[in-house]
Amino acid sequence: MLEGAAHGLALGILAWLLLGSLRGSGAGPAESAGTRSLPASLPRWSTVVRPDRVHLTIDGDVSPTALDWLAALVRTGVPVRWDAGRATPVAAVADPMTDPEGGTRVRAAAVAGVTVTLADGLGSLDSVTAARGGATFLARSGPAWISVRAGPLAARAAVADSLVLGRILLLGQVGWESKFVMAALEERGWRVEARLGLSPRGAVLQGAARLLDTSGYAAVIVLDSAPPGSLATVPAYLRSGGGVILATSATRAPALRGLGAAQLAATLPAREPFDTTGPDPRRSLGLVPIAEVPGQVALERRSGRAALAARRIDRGRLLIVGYQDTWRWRMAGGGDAAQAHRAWWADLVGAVAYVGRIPRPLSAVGTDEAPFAHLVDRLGPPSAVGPGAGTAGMSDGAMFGILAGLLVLGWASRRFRGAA
Amino acid sequence: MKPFTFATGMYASGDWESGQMVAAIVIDSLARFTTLDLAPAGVNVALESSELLEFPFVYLTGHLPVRFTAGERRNLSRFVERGGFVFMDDHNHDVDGIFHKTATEELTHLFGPLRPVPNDHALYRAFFTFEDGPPATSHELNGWGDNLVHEHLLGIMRDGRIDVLYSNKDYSSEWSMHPDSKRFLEKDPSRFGVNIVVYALTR
Repeated sequence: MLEGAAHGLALGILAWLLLGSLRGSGAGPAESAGTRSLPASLPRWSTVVRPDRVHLTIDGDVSPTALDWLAALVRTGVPVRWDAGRATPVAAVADPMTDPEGGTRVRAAAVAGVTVTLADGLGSLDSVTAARGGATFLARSGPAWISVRAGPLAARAAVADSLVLGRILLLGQVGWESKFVMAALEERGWRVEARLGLSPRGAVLQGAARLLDTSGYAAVIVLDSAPPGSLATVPAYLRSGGGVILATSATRAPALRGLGAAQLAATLPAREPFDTTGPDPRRSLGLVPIAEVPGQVALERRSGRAALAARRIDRGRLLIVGYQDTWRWRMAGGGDAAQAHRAWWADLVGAVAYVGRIPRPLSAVGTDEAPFAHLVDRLGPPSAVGPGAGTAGMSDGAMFGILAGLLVLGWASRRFRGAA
Repeated sequence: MKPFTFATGMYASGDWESGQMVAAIVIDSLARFTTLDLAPAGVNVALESSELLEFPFVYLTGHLPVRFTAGERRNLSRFVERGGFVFMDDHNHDVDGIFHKTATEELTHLFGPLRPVPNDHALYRAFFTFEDGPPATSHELNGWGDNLVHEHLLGIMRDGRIDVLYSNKDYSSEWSMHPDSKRFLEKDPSRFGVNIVVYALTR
């Protein structure tokens, strides 16, 4: 019985191998390559020998040209399979920062825990370990293109637009807060116009009076509920796409009540001794908490109450600042408080500002913002197994080993029972 | 919000306290002519103290030699660098006087040379308009002190903005009166004080 089964199985394998060799005659070889050898292999596969099938192991960047070439091979009937090797998904996008000082914000998507390296044409700039949300880099130099590498694959992105920044309009009363907010933004490079109340019949005006719309103004900052002139045009400006920053005292202005922003009655006084060092430099500032309303997002909190809140209103962005006398941070804060105060106000304005965009000429260097996704898109999902597997099932050596084993089993069985 | 507070700077040398009426008369004028949120009384703050940085406007005066301590120099330099405004007035009204010589030496040492403030500078239109530049004081017109009517104020300027304003006109004497006494005068003599404060608050 055992001898018959071993004999029959051996004959079956021999027949299967014979059929396979007959069916394969006339077809090309199975080829495998890494991405580094791909530039040499592709012309050979297209002009010298047409492979029966191709297996690609990702051990480096695949150029857009090579990827197109592989996709063309697939369309001519050559199966192309690939495995990711050590490669993990990575993607990057580069956006210009809404800041007169310029710069680029690079957001990278990568698997958490992977080391992500930022580079430009001159070499590496920075590296971090990706968190759950990937990684974000701020590049002040504004390079023409950047690459974000995570393992063998690098995403390459370029800034697509240039920004056109309008003016800032500051409305309020003459005082230290208006002076130092204006100073911070001007030092940052913003063009600031101001309407500041000073006396019953007088105001400090900086800049020509012009229509409040998004063609002229990137943002409006209202520090008081009764600045000179009217606030009636501010809601319409906001709804049309403009950016508005309100101090909590400004939320009492009748013209702004329709925006839904409000302050709570209780005020948290400034903390003494005044200290702006450490991870929360605004913890010593006085605070008028912001009332929570649906659709509003609290960006900063203190003692469970909203200190900085944002919401979208139609096409515009509204930011409400609960902190009081932020000028004290600049004047009396420790360390680099003046720079920190300036950067904070610039970030607030940058977060809400309306900006015009002008498309840039495409970079001479090709971009590939999501190389792993493009591989999947063009070649299908990666295979979980290595080259050579899957098409023939087993290697010829394994087949020979099984065959020899079966024959030895039949021979040994006959010997044990004393047959000839 | 913290109101505007008129701060008089205390320094270790000299007689910083010689112009104690000035705060009251300037606050009175600010209250009469503007809607600024004001502290009703001035404060005296040591130049060496970190408390100085809580008052971005500081007034300095005196008759006697001025020699700042290392701490006063360091703090005053930081104060100006962060955007504070210094108004320093020579209570002697005398360019050969010891206060002028020593005070300008100290300021030059800290911030570089003092330069004349042009008489068409924004300071002279910040609230009231002074067509001819800084208003003359009765001490100048009476020939006291150095017997000169000083045509310009001096300043340390950065990008056209005055950080430190220095006066030889002795406004400290001109404004040394009880606020109620101003009603007997044709014009409020401390109107220029309003300009100085408004300029400091807006530029």
